[in-house]
Amino acid sequence: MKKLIIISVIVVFACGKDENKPADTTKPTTKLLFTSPAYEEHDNEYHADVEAGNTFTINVKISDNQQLKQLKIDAHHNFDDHTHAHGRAELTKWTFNKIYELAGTEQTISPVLTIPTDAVAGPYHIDMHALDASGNEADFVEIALYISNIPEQASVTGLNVPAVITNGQVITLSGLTIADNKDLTGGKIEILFEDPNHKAIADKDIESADLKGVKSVVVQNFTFTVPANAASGIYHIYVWVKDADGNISDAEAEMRLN
Amino acid sequence: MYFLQQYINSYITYICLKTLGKTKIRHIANVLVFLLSIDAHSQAVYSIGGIVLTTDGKPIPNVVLHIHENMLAVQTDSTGKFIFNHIKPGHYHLHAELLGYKSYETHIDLPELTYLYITLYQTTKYLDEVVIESAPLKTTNAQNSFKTDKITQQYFERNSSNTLMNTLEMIPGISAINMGIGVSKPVIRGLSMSNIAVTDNGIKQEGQQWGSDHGLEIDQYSVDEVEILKGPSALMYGSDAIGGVINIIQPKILHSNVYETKIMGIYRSNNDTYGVSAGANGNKNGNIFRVRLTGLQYADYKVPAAQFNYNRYTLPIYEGRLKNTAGNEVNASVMCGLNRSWGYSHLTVSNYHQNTGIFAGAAGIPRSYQLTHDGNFRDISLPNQNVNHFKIIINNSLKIRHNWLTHDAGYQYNLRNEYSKPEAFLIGLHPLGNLALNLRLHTFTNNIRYFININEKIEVLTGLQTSQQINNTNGYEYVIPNFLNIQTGAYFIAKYKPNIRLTYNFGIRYDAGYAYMQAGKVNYYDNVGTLLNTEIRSYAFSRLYHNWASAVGLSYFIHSQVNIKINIGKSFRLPTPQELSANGYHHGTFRYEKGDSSLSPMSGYQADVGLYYDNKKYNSGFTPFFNYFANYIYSKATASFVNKLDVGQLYQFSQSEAYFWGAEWQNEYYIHKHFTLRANTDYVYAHNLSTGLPLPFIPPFSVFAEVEYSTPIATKYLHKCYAKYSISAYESQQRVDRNEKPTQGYILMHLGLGIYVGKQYKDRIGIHLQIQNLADVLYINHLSRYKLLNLPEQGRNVVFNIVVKM
Repeated sequence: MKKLIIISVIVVFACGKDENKPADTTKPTTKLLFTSPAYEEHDNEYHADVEAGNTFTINVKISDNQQLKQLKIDAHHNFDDHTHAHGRAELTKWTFNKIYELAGTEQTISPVLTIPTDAVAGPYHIDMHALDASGNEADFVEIALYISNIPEQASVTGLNVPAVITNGQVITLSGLTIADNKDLTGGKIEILFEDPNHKAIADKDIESADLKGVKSVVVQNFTFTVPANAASGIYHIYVWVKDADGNISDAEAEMRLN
Repeated sequence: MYFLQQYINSYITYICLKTLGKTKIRHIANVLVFLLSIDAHSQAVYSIGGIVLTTDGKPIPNVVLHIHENMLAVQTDSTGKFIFNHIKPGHYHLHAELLGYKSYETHIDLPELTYLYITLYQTTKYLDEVVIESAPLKTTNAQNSFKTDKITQQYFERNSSNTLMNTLEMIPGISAINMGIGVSKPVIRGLSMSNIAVTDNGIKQEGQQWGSDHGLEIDQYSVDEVEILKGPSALMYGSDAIGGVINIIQPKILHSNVYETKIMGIYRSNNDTYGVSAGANGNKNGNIFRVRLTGLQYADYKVPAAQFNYNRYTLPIYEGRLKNTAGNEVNASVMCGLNRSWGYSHLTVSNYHQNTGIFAGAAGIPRSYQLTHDGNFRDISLPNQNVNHFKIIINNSLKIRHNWLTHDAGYQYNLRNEYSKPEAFLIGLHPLGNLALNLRLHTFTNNIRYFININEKIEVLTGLQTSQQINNTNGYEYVIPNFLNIQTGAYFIAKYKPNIRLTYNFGIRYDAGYAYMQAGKVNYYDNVGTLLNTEIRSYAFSRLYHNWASAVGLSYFIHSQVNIKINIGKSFRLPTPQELSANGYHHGTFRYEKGDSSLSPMSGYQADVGLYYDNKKYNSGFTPFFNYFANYIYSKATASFVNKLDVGQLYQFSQSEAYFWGAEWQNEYYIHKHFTLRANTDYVYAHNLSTGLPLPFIPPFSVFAEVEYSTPIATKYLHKCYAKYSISAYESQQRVDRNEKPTQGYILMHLGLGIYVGKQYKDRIGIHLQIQNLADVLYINHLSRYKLLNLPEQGRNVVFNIVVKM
């Protein structure tokens, strides 16, 4: 009985206490004002391009109904994105991670990010997360930043394929030229024969060992065989090149199987 | 520990050989039996005979009678007679059961009573007054101050869902935290993870239950019966049972010289599950065995959506199937044992193995390139988890003079491997490759209970429970350290029954625990795998804890059909290793969580009331509850970020003053001999007094209604045909913790059909068909781990089970 009383008291006390303490659950908001170089918005995403060795300036406004606490800017590579779903590119070279202490209900932060000259070229993400003093987290804002390097990408020329193919046919690639203005050392060339779902049927790679000190590669008599049971549809030859600086370039040619 | 292993080893040899019946060994075994049986000197044996009759005096054949304490079972013959031979003097509980009749339970004192006239009442309700095996003093619900929900084999056959917990979710007060299909864990009245205990054959299941993405490692097809205790159960089950217990109990005993083989075929349309579960069991003069083998394979599951929204992005769901949610399971168990007049001794060895994919977009921010179809719905790529749970369980019951001593011992080895690309977390190339987490948990458990029957009114039980755990970890993530955890608890439970209407229960328990945590480290490597630096994530420390719990309760029959039950208690739970020393990003929960080595044991006061009405046609139970915790442990959102690349907000394990209240209301109405109507509802309100906010992961208010048509006999070979239609409605859940996503309400409809083929009482073939989520409703489950990503749940699912008994 004594315990019952204690518990009843707790219930009353607990319910009473409930009302005096309205908790702040309003999220802060993060708004991207501008960037330099300027971003473009498409498909609900912010895109920007920058060359290695330059700076990237962000201007972001954070606001909250009560009290702001922190902004975190986090930049890292997103290389899986661009390797045609093969994910063979190397790991990150450039990262950025900084927490900014905030105060008040509105604040603008303008960090200037320096992209090192040796940054691996490719797609990066810059994520901006914000917290208020109660721990409410804002929806993050993300910029898809493409870093290109100097010298620029390799060129792919002479990708000639038949417009129409048949089952069992042998496709021969001749005169396909991959040339870089600097060097292909440490890079990689992949030539893929893909089905209508962009799934590789055959894969021919030229590994980095063969590219040491090479400025251009001419492919002669590379062959792919169309499988005897291949279904009709649009097939592709896809060429993917990474140069010494990590710049990625690609080329694609279509073939129809009736 | 060495001693225990020796003990287990000798037991395996002993029981296996004993069952095989090798004569040479039998001599040695007899010596062992002699040593075990303190009562061996009293040689006088008696018989318990009797007859089972209907209310109009006709004998009933095929009634199974069993003695609880030694698991001996017999069946009535065509004249309704039965006999147990070679029974020693002592106190016993005897049960008589047959489908279609109300179960019967009685106490027997030998040598005083030797012949029984038992009358069984016919009933349409198949769950009438069943014996609760897991109740401290093994009685019916009527004689306990707390009610235990019993889920029978029939329920499992007719309602089986993706996992054991999904099957049990329909019971009011019970929910499941899911991660896709195949991974789910129990929630009782809003409490989950380390606040809920699951026991299998009396031994508490010890996996890595702290993780919301870690499922319960139990083969649902090996489960015959489950008993669920909602509310504080820490007295008998130990500190983790603060919120309730799910007891998986030993399957029914077959009476002597009976063998049974059962093969079940399973198909589920939604994720193309194909499964087989085959089992056999038998009893030859009290030498019993049981084996079971289950294999399941399933593909990516289907949702009624082609895309989902995350933050500002719209992401694709290729062909409405969530990429990389396929999985498979292979489970096996072997049991053998002896049922004798001195008691019983059983050995169960089982292994559970599950390999399941984690949705491809669930490792960090989902990216559309991760979600492109890989050409195969059945493959398991990264991220994924691979779990193995091995168990050895020994259950003994031994007669000491007139009383009984039971002993359950268990060894468990839980191996959990979680794989994910380290690149996705920007950790760099790691020598461990994709192995994010490797957790190896060894648990030794011992439960000893001694039952004393003082007189007809007073029964007591004293018990001792010990557990030792060793955890070893590896992997490129750090979540919990290597640790050693020792717990010992002693308890005393008493039942006083002054008259037929009133029963009092009382219990007290004291626990002490010791935990030693090793330092936790994370290594960082460069692109070619050279070690760059080692980061200390948590320091080594040791802690000693102790606390006590106690409870009082009563059950009172105001009227023969109206029962009120009241329980009040103080309970506690020791902090878990994760709560004490986590410090890392767990890709499974998508959060960076940090432990606190200074957390104190969580303690609280809990009260519940049960009001039950039961007549021939209608039964109802209303069960309100209130839990108050002075220092409820949970992972709290802080106002700081973690200063690491691509890691967000810090969640810190902390303690808050909190309370929970709620109720379940359960109704069953037998409108007509063929029609049953069921309507249940449950609600939980959880409030954190320190933050003024609700607590996270609280199930929404729900209502369940079902109408079932069933007919006992249709023709000579087709019978017990049933058809049922149910609706479950879930209210939106707006009461959420900080940064937790609220969810919208939804209504699901389900259909079930089934029939049994074979002669009466044989039921050789059972065919069960269910259509879950009939209307293919798009909804988000508040307790789903994928809620964070706004991923919808499984769409329409046709479940087909066929059970063949031989």
